[in-house]
Amino acid sequence: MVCFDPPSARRGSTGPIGVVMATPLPESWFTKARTGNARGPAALSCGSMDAPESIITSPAHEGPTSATGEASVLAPAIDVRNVEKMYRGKTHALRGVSLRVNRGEIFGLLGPNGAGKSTLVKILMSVVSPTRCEGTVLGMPVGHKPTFARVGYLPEHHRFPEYLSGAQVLDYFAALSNVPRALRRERCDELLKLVGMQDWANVRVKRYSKGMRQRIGLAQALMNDPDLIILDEPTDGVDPVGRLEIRKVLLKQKELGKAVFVNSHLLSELELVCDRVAIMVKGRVTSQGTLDELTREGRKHEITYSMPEELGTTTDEQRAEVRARVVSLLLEHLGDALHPAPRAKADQTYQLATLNGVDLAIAYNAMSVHTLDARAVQPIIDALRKGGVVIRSVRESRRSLEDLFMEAVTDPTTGETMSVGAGGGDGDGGAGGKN
Amino acid sequence: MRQTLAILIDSYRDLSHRKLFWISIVLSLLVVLIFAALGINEKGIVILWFEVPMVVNTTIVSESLFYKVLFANFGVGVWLALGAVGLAVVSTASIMPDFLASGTVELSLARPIARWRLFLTRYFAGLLFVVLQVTVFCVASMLVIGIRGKEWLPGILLAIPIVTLAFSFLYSLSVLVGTITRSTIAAVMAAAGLWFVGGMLATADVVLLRAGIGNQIQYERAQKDVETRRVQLDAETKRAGSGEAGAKNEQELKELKERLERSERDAEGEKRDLNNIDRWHRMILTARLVLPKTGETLALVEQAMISTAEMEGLFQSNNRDDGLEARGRRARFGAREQEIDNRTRRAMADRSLAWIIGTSLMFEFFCVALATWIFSRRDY
Repeated sequence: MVCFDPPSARRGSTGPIGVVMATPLPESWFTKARTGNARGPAALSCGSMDAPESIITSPAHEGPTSATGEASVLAPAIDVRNVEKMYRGKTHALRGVSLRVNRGEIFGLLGPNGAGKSTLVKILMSVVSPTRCEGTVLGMPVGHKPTFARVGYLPEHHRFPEYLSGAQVLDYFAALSNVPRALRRERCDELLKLVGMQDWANVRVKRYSKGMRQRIGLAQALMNDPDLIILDEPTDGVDPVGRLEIRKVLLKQKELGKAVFVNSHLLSELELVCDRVAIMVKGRVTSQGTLDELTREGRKHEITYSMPEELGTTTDEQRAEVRARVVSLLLEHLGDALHPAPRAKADQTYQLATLNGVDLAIAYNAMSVHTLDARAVQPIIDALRKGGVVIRSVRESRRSLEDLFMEAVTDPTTGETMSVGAGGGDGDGGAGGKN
Repeated sequence: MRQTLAILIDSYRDLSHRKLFWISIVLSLLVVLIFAALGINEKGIVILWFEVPMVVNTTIVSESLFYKVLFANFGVGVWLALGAVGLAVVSTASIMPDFLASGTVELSLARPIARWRLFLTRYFAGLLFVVLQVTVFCVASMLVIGIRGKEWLPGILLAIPIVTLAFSFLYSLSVLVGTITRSTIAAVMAAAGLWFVGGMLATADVVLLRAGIGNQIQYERAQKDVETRRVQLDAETKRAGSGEAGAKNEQELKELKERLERSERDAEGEKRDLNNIDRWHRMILTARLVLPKTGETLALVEQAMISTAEMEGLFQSNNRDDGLEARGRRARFGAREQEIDNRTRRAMADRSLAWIIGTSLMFEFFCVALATWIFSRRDY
């Protein structure tokens, strides 16, 4: 792997195909180059609340129907708009959140601590009353109690009564969800086996490890065979094997046509299972869409190289000199097709340019070509090789969920990560605003 | 129904894993063993196989009445009223705070059950502690008394609803405070505080009632005295006016008049004291009106089990055959006390069920309704 000097280069990222990428060129450079303005996290938003076509053919339609009628079966699992929550008139936890979760998909909600994720989940489960909320859960108004018979829920930091055994936990909460006794027994055995807890069924919960409690928690969320499963940090405290098993369970539920709503800090976990994600920051959904949609903008080719002769690259001046030689080489061989940006900032590590409408960021030892079209990269490689530059690697890369997340929580003006939670009386933050 | 049953079963599991629950059961059975050890025959009390000759024997108290008094006064009045209820207050205080703990309450709220129903079911399930305790105690007592004393007293089972009701008054405040603060300590303090304040007010009530009755008797006597002296003065004045032989002279009439005035002043004084006591008593009664009457409620067990005739017979039997000297002492000093006792007992017995249970239930209703409202509206 080639090491970059720029600070941003230190944040290497892993793409969905598992390739470790030395792709440190931040998107904001290119964005600035195109628009001339800094763009905030909101610029990531896909914005579309419309259901994709897939909902029409969602496996959910082949799944179990409910007593609430066909309308609710056809409706999305969650469709809420303008959700607001003001805790005791002080803390603005949610500021008009709108999102939609379709049946037969796994939806991930990301956000820093105190962003309002748990508050949103609690509103959906009527644990917290919203200041304002429009929309439906499984086709019924948010907070409609009978609907909860078809919803499975695992809260964050849940605490089961310690005097109950794992099997009793499943039985008790399923009974509260109105599951008939015979069915409870049947599903209890199945689910204990599914989460690998059959040997601990009759042991009291107080003897369980955190990971075991999570497993039992997941099982209790599935006891009523729900159409919608809402999990708040389901892999918290679970070992890697357990996480893999939980992912399998979630994917299985998806196959069965269930909607799974996962609230998690573990971006890599979400990336592995989620069909769509939303990023929430300070009580607002800043971006929402499929992983493909959200990461599309960042797709690019990365070329790393070195100059034929030994040139010093220790100081900024030396690096700037090498970079200038690369740019002049490209100008020499590509001619008028290359348009370097008129002027770089004094401390800028990259030279921005465009080649036939494709954005480039040129460093002294690497270059980002913002296109996945391999043909567009060839002239650049040719030009470099003609100039005697040694090509060390060429690879495709795309933004990871972590990149998306970090951009969402980074203040575009200061470049600093936004503070946790509400931050004052007018801020947000579910945790800070609880009664 | 399925959800209610689930909550009841869960509450039983919750209670049965608490050590205090089993400690309380064991203590209850010890008390029952004491009942088993006690008996009565024509010579006195029997402890295990040993006769202890005593004034109290079957010639004074029937075997049935002996066991009824033993159960009502010692079993209910001491053990259940103080021991079992005290343990229950401590043991059940954590039910609501535990239920409302973050991470626990969400699991129950996100179910197809209305919040108010969930809360009320939890509330009533919390009373299981006392229901189970008292049931075990009463059934065991009934069996032991039946086998040991050959007296089958199904009336003992009345203690189950009555003691549960008395406990529920304290429990309702414990639940309200536990719901507001989510603190077990605060809930225990509130219930214990209510118990203490209620007990103090009940004691003050009885003391002031007795004082008032005593004062009333004094006042009645003083008025009688005034009346007697006035009649005497009027008669003597008439006789002196008619010049009848042996009539009082001027000086003697003046003395009679002074005695009458002194008696009137005494009566006035008694009247003032009586008004004073009445005022304080009314204040205490007003305070008691809004608070639960745990003591009086528990006393209903005795009232239900032992008839007035049996009770009066018991008091009379206590006062007989105890010697000439004692009868003379009672004649001199005890008549007034006896009168005060009788009137106090009657006054207490005259207090209606509506006053005892009705107002207590209103207190409980207020506490539970407020707690339910808070629970239903709160964000967790």
